[in-house]
Amino acid sequence: MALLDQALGPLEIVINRALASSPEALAALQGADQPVALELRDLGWALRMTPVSHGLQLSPGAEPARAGVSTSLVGLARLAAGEDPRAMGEALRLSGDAEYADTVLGALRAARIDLQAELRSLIQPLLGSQLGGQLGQGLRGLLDFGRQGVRELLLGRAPASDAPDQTGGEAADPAQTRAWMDDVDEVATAVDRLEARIKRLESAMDDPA
Amino acid sequence: MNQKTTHFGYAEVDWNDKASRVSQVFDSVAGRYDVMNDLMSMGVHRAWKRFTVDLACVQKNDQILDLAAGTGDLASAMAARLGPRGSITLADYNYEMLSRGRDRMIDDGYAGVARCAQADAEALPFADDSFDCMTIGFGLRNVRDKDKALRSMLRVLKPGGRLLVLEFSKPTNPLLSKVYDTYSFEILPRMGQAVAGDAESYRYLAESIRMHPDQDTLQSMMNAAGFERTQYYNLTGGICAVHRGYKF
Repeated sequence: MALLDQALGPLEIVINRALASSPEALAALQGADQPVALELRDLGWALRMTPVSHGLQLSPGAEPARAGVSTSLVGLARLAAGEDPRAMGEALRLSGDAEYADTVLGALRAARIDLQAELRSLIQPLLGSQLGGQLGQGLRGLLDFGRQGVRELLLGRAPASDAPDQTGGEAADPAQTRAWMDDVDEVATAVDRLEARIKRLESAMDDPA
Repeated sequence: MNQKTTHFGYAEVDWNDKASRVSQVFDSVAGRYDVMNDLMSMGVHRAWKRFTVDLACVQKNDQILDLAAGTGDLASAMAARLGPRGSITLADYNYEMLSRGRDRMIDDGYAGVARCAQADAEALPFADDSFDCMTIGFGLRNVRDKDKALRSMLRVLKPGGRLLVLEFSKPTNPLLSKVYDTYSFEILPRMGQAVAGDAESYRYLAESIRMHPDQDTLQSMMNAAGFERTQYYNLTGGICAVHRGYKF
């Protein structure tokens, strides 16, 4: 749990920084003041997200709450990047008051947080390699998810195998395919980050005060 | 007749003398305060302060009170996040430190949002429910009656507002604790003598840190004062900690 205690601050800072630059996300939290229990299954962490005036307060604790969310760090990153929880299947399970959970999670989604970039920049100088390593594993999983999605989208079939092509058609060289997928993945990630930052800047320009 | 006493570092002093003694310490070190902070902490105090400011999550229209504002480094970092409708008040018991904080705010271009007040944390001269966010960085341990000061802070905080206390604390690792003790009592005063020409003030600094309540005790004190949803974050193995509490 010491690791969880160390991680809570940076994670909360990342979330609230994004919420602060997203008026619609903060507005979504107006009127919500009860905690949502959040379980990150892969890390074994149980915490609570409680709406406060400036965003969300994260605190450790597994006490029952009005609503609960069970997911992985990768699932949280997907949600924070704007993915619809209803489209995430088993990757994200809701319990309790689903409407209330949707209110709080809706704010997270609206903020479109680039968890990977934000956490990496914040955690490493503050907390060193132990936490960075654990979170890094989760984030590598996120990248793998992205790579798999691109592969399936482009090839329209199951993940490519290193085994020789049995169809008699022209098979792409697996190493070349992998390298190309890596390039696509890198570009896709960079575009996502750029898009999220442009949206934040646009929000800030719309509300200069 | 029993005279009321309090601690000044490891020494027991008359209750009424502590404020003036602390003031003498800061009068003495004000000119070299920032340089000494960098030297003593090897620059780590900047990361601690950045974490505190990040955790404060300043909103553009916030009304902020920075207590024990000193040379204004926390205040300047928070002012950078304010919009034209926000404001920050720097308060400090010590005039020398406060005037350096005021100069920094002017130099950094925040004169428009900054105000200064020489004030006692135990009896803050502000109306009830005045501030959205309040910080006190490396100042609470110098306050004579911490419980009274925490109650005073709660009073001037708006409902929904938050207090962040950045302060030296107790290392959580025994080995780190030993190294830290050696550093504090053997090296720090010599460094103070060499750079600021004042070993005694830096000996007081080390002693006052040891006399300050540990993480759990300070959290209990905040709860007792009326703060809610309190929690703390250890920094650098507990050498320093940020406590946060809300008023509802």
